[in-house]
Amino acid sequence: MQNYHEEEILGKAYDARLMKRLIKYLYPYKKYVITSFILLIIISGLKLVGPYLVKIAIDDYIMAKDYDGLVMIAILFFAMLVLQFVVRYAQTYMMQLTGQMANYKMRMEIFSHLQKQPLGFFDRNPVGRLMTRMTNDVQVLNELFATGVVTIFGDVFTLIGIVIAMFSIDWRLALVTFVSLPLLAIATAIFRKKVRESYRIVRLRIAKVNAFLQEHITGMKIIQLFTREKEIFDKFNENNKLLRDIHIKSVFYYAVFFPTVELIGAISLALIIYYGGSRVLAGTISFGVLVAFIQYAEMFYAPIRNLSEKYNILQAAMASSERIFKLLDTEPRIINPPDGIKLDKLKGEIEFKNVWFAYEDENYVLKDISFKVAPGEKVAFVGATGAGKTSIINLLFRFYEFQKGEILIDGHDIRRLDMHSLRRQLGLVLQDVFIFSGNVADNISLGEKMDIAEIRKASRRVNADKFIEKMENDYEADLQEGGANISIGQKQLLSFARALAFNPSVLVLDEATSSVDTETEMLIQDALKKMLEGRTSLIIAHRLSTIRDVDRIIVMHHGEIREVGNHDQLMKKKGIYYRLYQLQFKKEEAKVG
Amino acid sequence: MNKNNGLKDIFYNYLKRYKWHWIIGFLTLACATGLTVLMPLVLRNAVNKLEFGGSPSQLLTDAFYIVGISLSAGIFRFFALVIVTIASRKIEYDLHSDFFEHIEKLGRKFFDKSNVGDLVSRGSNDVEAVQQMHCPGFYSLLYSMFIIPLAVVLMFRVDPTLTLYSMIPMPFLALAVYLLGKYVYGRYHKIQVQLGKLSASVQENLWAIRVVKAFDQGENQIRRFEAINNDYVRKYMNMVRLWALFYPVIYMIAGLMMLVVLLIGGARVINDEITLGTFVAFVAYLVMLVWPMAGLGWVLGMIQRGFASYARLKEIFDIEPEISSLTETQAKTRFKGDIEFKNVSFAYYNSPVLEDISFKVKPGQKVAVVGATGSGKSTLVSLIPRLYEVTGGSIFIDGKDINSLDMETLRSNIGTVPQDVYLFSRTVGENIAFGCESKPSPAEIKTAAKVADLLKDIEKFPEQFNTLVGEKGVTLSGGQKQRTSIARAIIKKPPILIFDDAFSSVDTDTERHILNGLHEIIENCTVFVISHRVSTFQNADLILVLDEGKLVEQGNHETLLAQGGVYANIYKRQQLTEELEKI
Repeated sequence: MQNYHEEEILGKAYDARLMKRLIKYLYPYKKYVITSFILLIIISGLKLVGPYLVKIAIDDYIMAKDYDGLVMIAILFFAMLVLQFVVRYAQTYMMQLTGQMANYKMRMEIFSHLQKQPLGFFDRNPVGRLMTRMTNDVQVLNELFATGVVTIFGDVFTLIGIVIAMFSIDWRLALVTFVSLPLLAIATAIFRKKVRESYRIVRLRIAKVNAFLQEHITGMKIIQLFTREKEIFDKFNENNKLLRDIHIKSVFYYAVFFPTVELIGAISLALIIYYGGSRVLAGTISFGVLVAFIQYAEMFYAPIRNLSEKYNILQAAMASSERIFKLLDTEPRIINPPDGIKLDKLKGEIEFKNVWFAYEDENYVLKDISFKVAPGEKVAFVGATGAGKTSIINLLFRFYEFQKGEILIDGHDIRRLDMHSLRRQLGLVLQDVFIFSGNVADNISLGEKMDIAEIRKASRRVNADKFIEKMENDYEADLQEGGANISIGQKQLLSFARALAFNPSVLVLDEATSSVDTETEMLIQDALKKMLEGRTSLIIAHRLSTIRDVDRIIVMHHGEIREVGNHDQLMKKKGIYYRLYQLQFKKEEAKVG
Repeated sequence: MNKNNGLKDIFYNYLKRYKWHWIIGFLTLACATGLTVLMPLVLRNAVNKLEFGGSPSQLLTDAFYIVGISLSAGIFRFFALVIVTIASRKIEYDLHSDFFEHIEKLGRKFFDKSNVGDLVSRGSNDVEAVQQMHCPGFYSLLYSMFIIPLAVVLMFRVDPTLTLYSMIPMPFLALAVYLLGKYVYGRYHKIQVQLGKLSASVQENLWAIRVVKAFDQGENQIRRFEAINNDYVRKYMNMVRLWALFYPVIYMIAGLMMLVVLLIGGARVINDEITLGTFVAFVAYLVMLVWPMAGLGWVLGMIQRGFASYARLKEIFDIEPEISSLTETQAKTRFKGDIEFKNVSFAYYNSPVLEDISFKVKPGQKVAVVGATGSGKSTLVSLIPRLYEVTGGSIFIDGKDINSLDMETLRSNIGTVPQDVYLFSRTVGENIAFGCESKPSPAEIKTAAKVADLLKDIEKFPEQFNTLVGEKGVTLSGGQKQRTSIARAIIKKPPILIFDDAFSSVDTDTERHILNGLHEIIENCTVFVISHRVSTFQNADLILVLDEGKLVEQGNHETLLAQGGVYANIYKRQQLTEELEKI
């Protein structure tokens, strides 16, 4: 009883709110949890049956010299063993299954939650951190679900059962047995407090040593180049030493606690022997009662020894769940409007009206941007790095939310459009092509249901078919992580095929600057032309040929639109574009010419 | 066989460092165990008194025995656990320390092909597994090894027949636990592999989040993840099906032993062959034996894993440092900065990277290395601080072969700014000071920052030079990181400076500004610079033009341009790219 309360208080001390929320994950598996609990109670009961059977065997059969009766008891004992075996197995299996299902759900929830977050979220949360939530923290909770919580309940049931059994057999002997209980309570309380503190420090220092290894193995080149080996080694050993010392310090608590529990158990045993024995001699209790008490007392102290372990699990789980919930509680800053307008096909009219945008605070990267793109028009954005070209793409795809102004797509406010249907109609080609693990076809369809014929068609149109068909297994060919087995130019062609396969109404293109060989360059140029054909297109242009082919050029400078017009008009204006052009395209023109 | 011997060597090597800990731990544990096994005998005595008539005062003596035995056994156990734990933690400490020290000695070639995550895992998880093998592993093993024979011997003396019968299920217990442990471990391994896949898929999703969103692939990604997640649960439950047998089996076999004692022991009491006290003592011994027996199987698994981890650590310890001249420090000299490559070749795992490179650089000259990606520029400059060892020819600094130089002297004369910027999660000031052997003064740090054109940025930071870099502090921009890396290289004012594509994140003006400022603080320093910028390489005293690992042209800008060869081509192309970059 005592123990149960302590556990509960501990839970509260840590966070009852977290616990409550954690337990919610078990709701869908109520049936399993309840069955598992019932099984647990049965196990606790069965555990008590053993000593009781021994008691009956001694009192009624061995003392009475009744061999047949003893065999009967033995058969009962065996039946109890088999039942215990089955129930134990079923209970463990069921609880593990529940834990896994809860974890499964939690992982799905985290993953889905991440998919809902806008890009800004990923700027603030490094991949490594999110990965830790997904793997380590969920893992820790598994321990809690599958072993920690349940064994605590199991132990509590057993302890209650023992107390009931002892009191119902002989309450006076039971009272005497439990005289040493306050001692146990005190020892446990002290131990718990000490272990809690040292455990926290141990975790902290382990993390520090691991982080140090991680950081300095990654930076080993720098350490070696600057011959800092000795200094870093000393620093490592400082952390290493701190870890060793806290480990050694915390073992003292265990080394004191375990023998103390044993000693308290021995005191109970001594009391049973003395008081119980005296009563056997006096003939007020039977011999079997004494033996049963000895066994029950032994059982009573076993779970208490495992306490520290469960404590650590609980403590770690609280910390992990806190982190996971914090992540899950991050509301996406951009929410898909619940009754958003779904457009099956865009005409492709895009209008920015006095748009202001900052990634953070008041550092506006787009200042009062207004422009209108007519359906089918091709518009190029030109400007130096940091002029705000990429931010326009980010807003159009609703990767980020702008602060002021309005963006209209086919006359609808972008914030009232269904985000998914909007993105379906926009095609994006980025400078850095991301290659997913999987084959070529997967990388074009991205897991969308697509006919291989469609994939082939899109590839052919952008000249990607040639290199793909040269690969072994062509469209089924596996691409290495990051596309290490294809060239940069080939990656670009692949990304064109990807964009085209989705048949977007509007194409947004961030032209790659990386140089590729002339042959591939020609294929890319040709593909670009075909992709832009008949589509509203927004292009962040780096190539002269592309600039020449567009209907309109928007020149951006420091987050503002400074000039608008076609190439000839802008050249005549002799403004920023003219200067950019002088600087950047003259040589290329000379070369092309 | 040989491999196993090596494993034994490493094991004994660490074990024997703390041999006194083990000996004393062993002895105290033996004392504790010896006392513990007396307990059932006291019990037997007491019960016999009850059966054959005794007085409560005699029982009181037994009660005191029980408490006394427990107390003294507890004291011994306390010392045993503390001493063995100390030994195991010291071994852990040594392994950590030796592991890191060894890693520090390994060359670039090793790091090129190893994965940081894997190394960290060896340094943490494997070291931990070894520690766990020593304690609680060996502690429990020793305990089991004492208590089992002692208890069995005592049981034998009390009643040989009953002992033989009751021991029948015992070997099965150890075997079952061992076998279960083994098979569970196999399935557990599969879970780990699947967990790896699961992590990889999340990581990929996060890296590609922009593409995922642009193509509205969230739902598809969730479906894909769901499949992997499902697979994980399936594999996990596969393991659980076996693992869930663990405790039921232990309880079952322990129960069977109890059953034997109940049936046969009971019959013997009925036939007056043994006393009731003996019967009770037997029950007590069985309770005492169950966990050490079960523990034996568990410990064997732990020891197996411990040795597997030792093997993984040994793999690292067995890698000889590629460059082995970390000899006694010679008196540190400052180089003049005269460098000569004489027919230098370098092959990386048998594929040639540089072939027959020869050139001479005078102190104070600025050398630009140009060439296409993969032409060997980075490799060439990394041979100077001996990040890699030449495979043919020689490099001379001030007329001395660099292989004959003490590594510390060599590297402390060279300041390198590598292509991939790496800063430590310390303060900006500490990151800059990192380049100095002796602790530099604040003024020196400031000067270095100023020359690297970083000072104005730092002054805007919340705590100036004391601002933490990285996740816990400010996030530096690419350019700021690069300039910090530059400041770190120049703070010690080395006579030789290497900039390996070190200006990619700063603009042309800053690059020129930094390079021009160098001579103000370092007199007559030799500078190697790999840069794509025309403004940088056209002013160099010597331009080395690499093409597929060969030094195809060398000279100054005018001569090379006039040749109209590879350099002239590169020059034109670079000019073009550079201007394009400026958009």
